[in-house]
Amino acid sequence: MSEDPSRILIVDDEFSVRDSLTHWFEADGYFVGAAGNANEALRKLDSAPWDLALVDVKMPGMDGIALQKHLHEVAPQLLVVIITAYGSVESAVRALKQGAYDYITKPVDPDELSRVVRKALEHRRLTVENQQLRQRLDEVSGVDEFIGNTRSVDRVKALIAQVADTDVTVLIQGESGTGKELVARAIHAGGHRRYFPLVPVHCAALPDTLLESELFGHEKGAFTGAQYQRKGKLELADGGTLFLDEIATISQKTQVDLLRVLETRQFTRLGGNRMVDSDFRVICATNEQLERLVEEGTFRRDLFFRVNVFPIVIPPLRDRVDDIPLLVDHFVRKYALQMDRNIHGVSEKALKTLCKQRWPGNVRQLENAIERAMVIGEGEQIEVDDLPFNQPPTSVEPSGDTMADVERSHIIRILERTEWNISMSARILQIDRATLYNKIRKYGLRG
Amino acid sequence: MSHVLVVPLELEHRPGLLRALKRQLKRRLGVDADFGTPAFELESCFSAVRMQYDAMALLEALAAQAGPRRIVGITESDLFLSVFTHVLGAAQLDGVAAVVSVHRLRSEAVGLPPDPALLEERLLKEVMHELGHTFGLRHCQNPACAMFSANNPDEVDLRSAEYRGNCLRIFHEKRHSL
Repeated sequence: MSEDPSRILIVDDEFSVRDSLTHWFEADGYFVGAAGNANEALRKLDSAPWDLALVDVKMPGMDGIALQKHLHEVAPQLLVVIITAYGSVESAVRALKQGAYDYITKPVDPDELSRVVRKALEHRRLTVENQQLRQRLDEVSGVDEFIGNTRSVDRVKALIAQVADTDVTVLIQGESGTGKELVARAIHAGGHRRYFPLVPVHCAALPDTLLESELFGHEKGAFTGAQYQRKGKLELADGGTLFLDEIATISQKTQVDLLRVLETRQFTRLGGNRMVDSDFRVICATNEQLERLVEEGTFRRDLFFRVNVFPIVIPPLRDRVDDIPLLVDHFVRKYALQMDRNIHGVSEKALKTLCKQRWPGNVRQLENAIERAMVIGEGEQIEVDDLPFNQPPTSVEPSGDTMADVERSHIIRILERTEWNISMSARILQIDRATLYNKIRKYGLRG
Repeated sequence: MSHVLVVPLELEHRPGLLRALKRQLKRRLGVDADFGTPAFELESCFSAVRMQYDAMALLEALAAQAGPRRIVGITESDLFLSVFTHVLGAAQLDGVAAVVSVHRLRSEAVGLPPDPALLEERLLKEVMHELGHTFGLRHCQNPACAMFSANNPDEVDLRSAEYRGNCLRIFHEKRHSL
C-alpha cells in the first residue's frame, strides 16, 4: 500500500457490518472511518476528505439513498457505493440514477467487494489526476505568463480576460518581440477551447504556395511530391484555436481564400473537391498597421473587418519601462532553473542600464540579453559587464588554425547573425542549448 | 520449542491433510503443531439460517481455549463473517486465534476431481496467511508473499506460503511470542 492510503468511509447502522468491513479494509491498508447513521457520516465528511463511501440503503432517519443524494451535492468528487439487501434491485437502480458509482448486495461477496472498491478507487485516482493536470495546464499557459503591472499591461490582461471565454475573433497588434503569441496562448488557455489544440501558423515564414498547402492541406497527388493526403492547419485546429501570426504578409490570393474560410468555416484541401468543416476560433497577430495596409491596398478591407473584431494592442517595452525589473526577475529565475545556475538577480547598476535601453526588439530582446548574461556571468548577480551593451565585439576571424579556433569563430558568427538569440543559434548550429551555453563559456564569448 | 495448537473442527477424517500441515509448519516456521479438540460447543458457532459457521464466533471460542498459545481451527465447513457471504479464513489481528476452512479450497468445490496435494498446499498457504495476521501482519502488495490478499482459491494458488520483505521482518521480530 502506498504511503498515503485511500480513505474509505463506511456508513451502516449495524455495528457488526461496520466492524467487519472496517477490519477487512484495514487489513488491506486503507484508512477506514465508520458512521452509524447519515448525520454522523455528514459530520465525518465535514471534518476530513474521503475518497469512497460505502453507504447502506436501509438506515433509521435519513436513509442511504437520501444520504447519497446529499453527498452528491456537497461532495461531488466523493464516490459512493451503495450497499443494498439481496434482491433490492429497485433501490440500487434509484441510487445509480442519482449518481452512485456502483452497488453491492448484502451479504457481500468478498471477490465482488474487492473488485468494486478497486475499480472505484482507480476511477477516483484518474479523476483527481486529470483535474490536477488540467489545473497545471491552466497554470502554465495562463494569462499570468504575461508579466507586468503597469497600466497598459493591466489593460491588456483585462482585455484577455474579457475575450478569452468567447469565440470572438481577436486581432493582436504590437511590435516584434512584444509577446503577441503569449497573448494568443493566454486567450486560448482562458477559453472553453483550451483542451483542444492551439495551432499557430507563421504566415511570413512560408512562401505563398506552401502557406496554402499548410493551411488547407492537400489530397494525394495534388502536386508533385504529394504522396499522401495531408490535413492542413485549418483542419488540425478543429475544436481549438487557429493563430495566424504575421497575417499582413499573406498574398492577395490567400487573403481571398482565407476570407471565404473565415466566413463559412468550410474549405477544400488542395487538389480535392470535398468540402471539409472545421470549427475553430481565429486569433490573428501583426506588427504592421493593418489600417495603413488597407489604405495602401495591400490588405483586403473585407478581410480586415473580418479579423479586426476585438483588437488588442500590446505596448512596446519602451512604453512600459517600469515593468523591466519584473521582467528581468522573471527571466533570471527562468534561466537559473533552466541552466541550473546559482544567479539570484541583477546588480543595481545593471538594472539601471537595462532600464535605460530603447529595446527595439522589445521583451524578446530583453529576454535574449538576460539569457546571454546568465551564460557568461560568473557571480551570483548579473553585472553591467555581463550585459551586451558598449562592449567591443569579439573578433570573428579565427585566431589560429586549430579546430577550436575555427569552432569559436563560427559560433561567434552565428551568434552575431541572430543577435545573440541562443535558441535560434543552437538550432542553426544543430546543437542543444546546453552545449551552446558551455561553448560560450569555454571560449569566453561576449557580444 | 515453539508450539501452535491446531484444532480440527469436524476434520478428523482427513488425517493425511493434518499430518502434512504439521510437517510444513515445522519446516517453514520451526514450530511444533500439537493437535487438540475444541473445548467449546461447536454447534454454538453454527448459523442454521446461513448453514455456515460464524468465523467470528469460532475465533472467540478458540481464543478462549488458547491461553497464551497461538491456536488455529481448521474446518471443512464453509465460514461466513458478518456481512460477507463467505471467507476462506479469519484471524485476530495481533491476537492468538485463527480459523481456516478448506470448504472452498477443495477442487471438488468447482466440479474437479479431488486433488489432495493441491489441497495440502492451499491449506498451508491459508494457515500461514491467517497466522500472519495474528502476528500483526496486514495484507501485502507483493503477490509472492503469503500475506497477499486472496479471496478465492485461484488467488490462493498465486501467492506463496512464505512471508517476504517487510512481512518477514515483522514476523521475525514477533516470532518469540509463538
